Amino acid sequence: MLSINAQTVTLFGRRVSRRRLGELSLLIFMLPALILVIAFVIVPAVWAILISFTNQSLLGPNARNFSFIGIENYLKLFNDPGFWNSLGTSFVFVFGSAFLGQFVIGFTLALLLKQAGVASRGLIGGSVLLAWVIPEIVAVYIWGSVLSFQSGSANQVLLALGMEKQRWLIDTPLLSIIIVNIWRGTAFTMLLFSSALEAIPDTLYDAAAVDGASRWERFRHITLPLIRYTILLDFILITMGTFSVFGIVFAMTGGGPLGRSEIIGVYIYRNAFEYREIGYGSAASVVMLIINLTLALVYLRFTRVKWTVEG
Amino acid sequence: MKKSSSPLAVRLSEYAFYLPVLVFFFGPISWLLLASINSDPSSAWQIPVEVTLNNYVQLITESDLLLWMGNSMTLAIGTMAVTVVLSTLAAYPLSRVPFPGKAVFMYALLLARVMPITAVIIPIFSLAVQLSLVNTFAGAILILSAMQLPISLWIMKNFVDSIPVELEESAWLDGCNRLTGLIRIVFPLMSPGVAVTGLFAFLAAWGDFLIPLIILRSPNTFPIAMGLYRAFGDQGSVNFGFLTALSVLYSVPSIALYLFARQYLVKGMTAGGVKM
Amino acid sequence: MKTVKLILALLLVVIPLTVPVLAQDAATLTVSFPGDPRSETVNALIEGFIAMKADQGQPVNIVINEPTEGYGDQLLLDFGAGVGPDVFSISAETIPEYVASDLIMPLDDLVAAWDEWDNFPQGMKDMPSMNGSVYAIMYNTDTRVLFYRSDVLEAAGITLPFAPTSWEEIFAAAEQIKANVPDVIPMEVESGTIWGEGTTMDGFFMLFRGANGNFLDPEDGKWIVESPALLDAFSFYERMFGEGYSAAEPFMEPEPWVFWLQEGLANGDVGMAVVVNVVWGLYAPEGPWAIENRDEVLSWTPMPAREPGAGINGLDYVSMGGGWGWAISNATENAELAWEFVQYMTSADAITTYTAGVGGIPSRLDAAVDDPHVAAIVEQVMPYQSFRPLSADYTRVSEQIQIATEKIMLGEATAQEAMEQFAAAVEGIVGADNVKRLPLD
Repeated sequence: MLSINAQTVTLFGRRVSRRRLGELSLLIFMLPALILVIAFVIVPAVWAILISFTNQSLLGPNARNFSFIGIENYLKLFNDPGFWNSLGTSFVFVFGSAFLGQFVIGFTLALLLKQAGVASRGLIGGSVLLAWVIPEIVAVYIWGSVLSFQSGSANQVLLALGMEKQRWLIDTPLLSIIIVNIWRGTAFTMLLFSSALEAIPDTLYDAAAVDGASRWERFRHITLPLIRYTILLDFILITMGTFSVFGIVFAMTGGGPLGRSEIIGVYIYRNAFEYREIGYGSAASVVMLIINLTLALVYLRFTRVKWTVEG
Repeated sequence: MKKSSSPLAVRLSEYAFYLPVLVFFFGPISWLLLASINSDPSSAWQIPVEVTLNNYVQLITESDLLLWMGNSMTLAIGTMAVTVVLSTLAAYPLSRVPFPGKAVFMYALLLARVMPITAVIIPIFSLAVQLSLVNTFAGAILILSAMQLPISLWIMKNFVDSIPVELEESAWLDGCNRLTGLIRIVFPLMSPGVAVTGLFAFLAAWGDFLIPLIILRSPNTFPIAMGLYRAFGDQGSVNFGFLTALSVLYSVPSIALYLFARQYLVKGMTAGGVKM
Repeated sequence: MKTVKLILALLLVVIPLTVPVLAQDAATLTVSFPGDPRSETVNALIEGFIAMKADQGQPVNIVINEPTEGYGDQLLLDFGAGVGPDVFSISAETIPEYVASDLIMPLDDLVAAWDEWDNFPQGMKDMPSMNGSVYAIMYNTDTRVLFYRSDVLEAAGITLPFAPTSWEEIFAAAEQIKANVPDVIPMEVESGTIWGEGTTMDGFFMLFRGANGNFLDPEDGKWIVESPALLDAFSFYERMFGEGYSAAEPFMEPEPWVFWLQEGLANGDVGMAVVVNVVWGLYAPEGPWAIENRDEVLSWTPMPAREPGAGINGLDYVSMGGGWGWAISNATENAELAWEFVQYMTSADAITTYTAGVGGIPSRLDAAVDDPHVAAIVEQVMPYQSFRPLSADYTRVSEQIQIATEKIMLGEATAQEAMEQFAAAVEGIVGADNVKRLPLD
């Protein structure tokens, strides 16, 4: 299996250079992370995919004696108008809260705060972060106090400006949860870009400034190329993160009224836990996974990051 | 560090952006702060008629605040340590060593993490039961770390990618082997990555509710996220004083860590001495 | 070599993680119940059981699981992973699902030999029973009545004490409040999906039973998805919201109970509300929803049927009862000890202690009632108590009820349309063969 001579090593019948072997032995460092991720992330995900082809339920006769039913869950899914509704709602939700909101605001903040003084950084950055670290259940009360029709601060502001009170959670439920999710999730993008921007040496900008490059030119030709990879990463992460949002929307609107803010995360919870149909809920999760995969590929083209993971 | 002075118009437009951002992000939170010092807090935004610190005093004297804080710290610091160490170790080979199927692996990492928690919570819990991890901090920390690792691995690999191989190669010429080169040259340069993954891991574990809920079963292992539920009583009654004061205290360590990590991000770069 | 050492070190870290679960001690009982605000009282009772067993020379070890949140979901997870408790607290309406999963032990033989079983009134025997078998011993129950602010009603010119005998009288009072005390929302009947099961139990059923409504046909077990009673109940909602006697917006906000009960009724911003009786204790001057002068401004009266005699079984008033019981897992290896535990926790003393510490209504006739409010409820309301249908499909049908009330509330459907859509939805859940429609007169 293993034989060694001066410059090369024979491993499983293949000749490998000693240098390459040294490299390969570095892969050992990946092992602990790999074991954890496989155990608690990959295996559960594969498990969920397998379950999606069964009629397993959490309670009832199908809880233990479930059986393989092929793609039946998927057929049922595609025939359910509620599923298509939740998909449509999710796309609007992701586009509105992740792109127009979290990305644009978070990225701009990271750019501005890099130059800003300690006070602005602490105050603005701190507020944005606060919105993220506050526990979900508390965020629900906070926004309940803002959006309440009778006494909410949003309506108090509208009244003070001479406008009419709005029925936020009845007439514009989707907009309301988009706003809440922007509030909640912008910090992640801001932090990610802050660290990426921090990694660009000031000397690069100084040199460009000497050459007379404008602010925009410096951004376009120095910053943007260097953080393209981070933009891709952020797109992927916030899309996936936003697609699987569930708790805060479930608590704010319950997906309603009448399904108008039912994003797919809520749809999945409702089916998997409230209706106890874990097999069916898993099938919806798998469809969501495929959509995320597709979107990730689209971003790859869009950001024109050349995908070679060869080091 | 030299700071170029911007034209007035640019500065003004920056403040024109800051103000609404501040109102939007801080406005809702102000309810929390105001209610926490109100002697008669309610669900509505209001300036307290009578200001009091009673809500905080009661938290400290009448609840298990210190116990919850300690448990949350154990979880968050443990998760941060495991995540940072494991992702730092793994990032180097992920970045430098070519192996077949790497791209697929990196994507699989992220995608597997996309599975909604509702779909994976049952296998995760079953596994925890099989491994006797239920009701142990180690169990909660390992699961929280595993859930944080995909993002951390991506970010850390990203950082190693940005460190020029030439720096290492010159160290090898100076007589370092690959391992000592890694420790002396690469690890120090990864510090901004360490800061941001550490921050993310801490915040994720500090704020998580679901994993402690299913894994930590006995009240003396409850973190703050579960202590918060003491604010809720029969028929959905809410103790607003307790809820808001505890939330404020809950947020303090996160904000402190953020301010600390920001400095560390900057220091890490200047100390690393990257010159391009 | 370094590499080899590293691998060994890693294996040493990983191997301890894979040690299998150790077998549990024989005298160990695992117990699950929803924690706060019951935690202290239940824990004290459990201590009492442990002490009693120790005195008998049989030390037991009780492993307690008491999540303060997500109790139902945690129970499902535990059973799903094969580590369900031996004994668990269960809300009566979920019993059918557990029966269908074969997770819960029938107690028929045990109660037959239990001399204390007859101290439970018939209702408390029926509530945890399905297909003729008993699955839990109830330890607490509750009921629903019409609460009202006497100061508001007085200001509106309504004679006190307010004792309506029909829905018409309730609407008349609402009309007077609306006209004379315009700042006050006249009434609250739980509606919409956000309030969840509360809408079905505290709101809808209090009307449905008052119109002699029944969902399960006792003859053939089919779901009655259209009936005059159902239309009457939905019409109540239509009129209440259509006439502006209640407000839709707060029902669509995240925590409607805070708006309506904790703040609205407590501050006198709401005139009348159909609510579970335990709120009386919450409004006590030292309670969490404190009304300083509660006894002067807050009163209650039994909820009338549509008209006298129009209620279920020809009754004049209605009340819905829910409650919690102790159940034993089918998979327990300690059934005998588990049953001893359940007997202890449902003894007259334990139930008296529980009611004093937590509230609600005792499930036994021989449990002492100190609280004059509870005594009055037991006397005036319990005779009218009825229960939710026991069916494994109940939870999903209940959700359809909540959706129907939400449509009516938002003006998206009339009572008639809401009923037709409800009928179609239930047909989709239980199958066309299992539903029937009664002629509407």
